[in-house]
Amino acid sequence: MIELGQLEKRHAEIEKNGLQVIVASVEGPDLAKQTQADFPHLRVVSDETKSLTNAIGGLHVGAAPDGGDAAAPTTFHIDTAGRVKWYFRPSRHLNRLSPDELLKAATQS
Amino acid sequence: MWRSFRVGLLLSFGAIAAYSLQFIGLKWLTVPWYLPILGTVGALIALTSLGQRRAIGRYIGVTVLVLLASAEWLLVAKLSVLPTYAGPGTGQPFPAFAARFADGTPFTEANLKGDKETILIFFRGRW
Repeated sequence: MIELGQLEKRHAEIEKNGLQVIVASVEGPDLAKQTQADFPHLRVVSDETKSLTNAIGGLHVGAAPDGGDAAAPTTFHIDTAGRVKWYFRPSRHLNRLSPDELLKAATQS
Repeated sequence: MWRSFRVGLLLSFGAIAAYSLQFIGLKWLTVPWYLPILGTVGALIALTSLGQRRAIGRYIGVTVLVLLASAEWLLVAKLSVLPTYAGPGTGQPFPAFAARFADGTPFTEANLKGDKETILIFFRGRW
């Protein structure tokens, strides 16, 4: 959750650019509430039914420490009409967009 | 050749320390290819020390370094690989879905339309 912490710290700058940040995982509502409490400026989604994750083909089967499924780290920039402006899926989960890279991509697209 | 063993240990554990610094300290989320590479080089250098002196402790140390390098390659090259992207392309509408925000309110594709653009990020979990 290092990525979420970085976004939380830079939330004012992100919002100043007219963006809202929504973060989603396949964890249930209880864990989502804990994450929301940790990162109050991000909107946290519980995708327990995996409807959202499956919609983007982002289910990483067996990737969770307990052998369960997890969402493959993916970032989308969606316009006000609900269309994808760009997306980023790294080849490995060790790699993520930094807040600077995200802001640069979001403001230049 | 004792020096070779020390250099091998230094490289192997130094790489782990560097990744700890990168991940925990600097929070740079990039793939640490240097970790298995330096681990392998360290293990090979330590292996050369066996040619001069074959002590049980040294054999154990080299075995540990080899296993460590193998685990690092497994993590970086294999276990961390994500599924190929099969979602919506650029310019396409975000597909329909039904989820909930942490406060229980519904979240669907309709929530992505409005007066603000959205950065939607999928993360693996609290773990």
